[in-house]
Amino acid sequence: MKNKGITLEEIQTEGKAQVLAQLKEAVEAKNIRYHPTLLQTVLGQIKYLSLPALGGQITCLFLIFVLCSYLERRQAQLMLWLGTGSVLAACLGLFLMLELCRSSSFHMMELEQSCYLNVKQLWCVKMIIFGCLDLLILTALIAGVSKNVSCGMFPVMLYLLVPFVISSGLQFLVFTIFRRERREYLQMSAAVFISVVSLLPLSEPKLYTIACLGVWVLALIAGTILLTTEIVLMYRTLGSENEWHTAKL
Amino acid sequence: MDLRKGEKMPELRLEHVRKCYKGLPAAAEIEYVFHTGVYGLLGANGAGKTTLLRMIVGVLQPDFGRILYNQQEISQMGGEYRRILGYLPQEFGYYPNFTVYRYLKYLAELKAVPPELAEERIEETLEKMNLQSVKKQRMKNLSGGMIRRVGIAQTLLNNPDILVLDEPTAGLDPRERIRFRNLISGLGRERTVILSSHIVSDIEFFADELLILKAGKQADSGSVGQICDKIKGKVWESLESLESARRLNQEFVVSSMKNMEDRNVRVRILSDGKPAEHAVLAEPRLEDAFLYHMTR
Repeated sequence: MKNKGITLEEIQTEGKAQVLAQLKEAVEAKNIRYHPTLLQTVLGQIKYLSLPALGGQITCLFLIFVLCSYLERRQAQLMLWLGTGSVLAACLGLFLMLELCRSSSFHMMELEQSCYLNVKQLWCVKMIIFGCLDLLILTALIAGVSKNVSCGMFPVMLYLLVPFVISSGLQFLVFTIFRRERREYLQMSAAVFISVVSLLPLSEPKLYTIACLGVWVLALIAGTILLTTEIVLMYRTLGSENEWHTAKL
Repeated sequence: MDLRKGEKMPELRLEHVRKCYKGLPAAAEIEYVFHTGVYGLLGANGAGKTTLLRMIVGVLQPDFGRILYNQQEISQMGGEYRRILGYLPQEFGYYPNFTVYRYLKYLAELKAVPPELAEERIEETLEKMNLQSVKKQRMKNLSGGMIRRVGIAQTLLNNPDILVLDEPTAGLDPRERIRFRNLISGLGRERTVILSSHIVSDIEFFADELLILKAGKQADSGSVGQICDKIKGKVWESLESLESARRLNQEFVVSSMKNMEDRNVRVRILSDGKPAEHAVLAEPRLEDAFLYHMTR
């Protein structure tokens, strides 16, 4: 059989160019669907976090190191260690709230809610980032305090986790109750208030004995329930019509 | 509508969509189907335009009824629906300390634009909206018109199939408005563009179809020609003295009054019957039709 097909030269010039052009066209027409993984999303969002929120967290970590070395040099008593630790732990929840307030303060929520990664997912990502930072800071704090006091690591963990969990729960409570612009100031005031309240147990040193450990466990459970409930409530109501300035139809 | 035969036509369908605020209807039984093309939403303040657009983009849920995209309910589609959306809210927010470029990069990430394409897309949209010279400027230093242009630019980042723009021309200068009109006309050839505006002339220029809303209800819909045809025989023009023009303005719905050089006034009146002795029938304009529906 005689092969009267295309010569090699023809393929290389016209045919190849035509096929390549068709391929290019097909690739351009194809709508590339990109599904970022959780890790990619977390890493992608870190660079957009606000300076006050992220800076505040890092300052807290720095403060822990400075204060721990200062108290260590002064050979401070148990109550001073716990007082400092409680105030720092109570303040930690503030920075996440400052970050979450940003979307509504700058009227970005509506636009963000319409994006592929919507407000709910975005806030979850932010909670993961700040939650990890909080864990890191709390670990450093607990390690720093328990190294210098005689009561052991578990009780110290309880004494410091309780103000952290309760203050975080109350921060969320303030956040969900007061849906208004510039609520950052409200959150900061709440943080100051909770920090002062976290010092109250220090007036009764008996509370920091083994006999009262059960009270701390109960307080931790109550705080965890409060925090979980507030997160669930916030998540449920997030993106509801209340957020979009319903007065304007 | 520029769609080839045999090509699957995308369809965004509103089925008996209803939304109330404190008992007052912001959208009442809206039924409409959007295909490829530019759709204009016209209505007075509080007519329910923004509410309807918010429901279309999924940031508000209807109290009753469904919104379907290609036969699928948008609330069920979730991220896959948001992926094909471009939305400019009426109250367009921004992070003031972000530069224009950083802001667009941030939104490109939220819109799941592939990282390898993001820079190219940002440059393209900056060029389309004539924003290249300000891309390194902080958002807080931009003028209102420029911020609006950034807002329009961000809607195009993900090359959306559905573009929803709430009052996009607000704050744009005449030159930018013309640029925007041309851009929208081009975009409407291959996607669904839904926009609202108070400016009738803008809508008249680029909308293939119109939806007129009044107190949350669908007052009329159709092409500009179809809508205008419905009031044929009801638009009159008359040259009157100042005194008589004032009287007509009180008695009838007047869509325009123009002072002439001979101290007379050219009055454009909406009326079922002849409103004045010298009145002659005039060709209806969209502005007349809009006013007709608003005053009924």
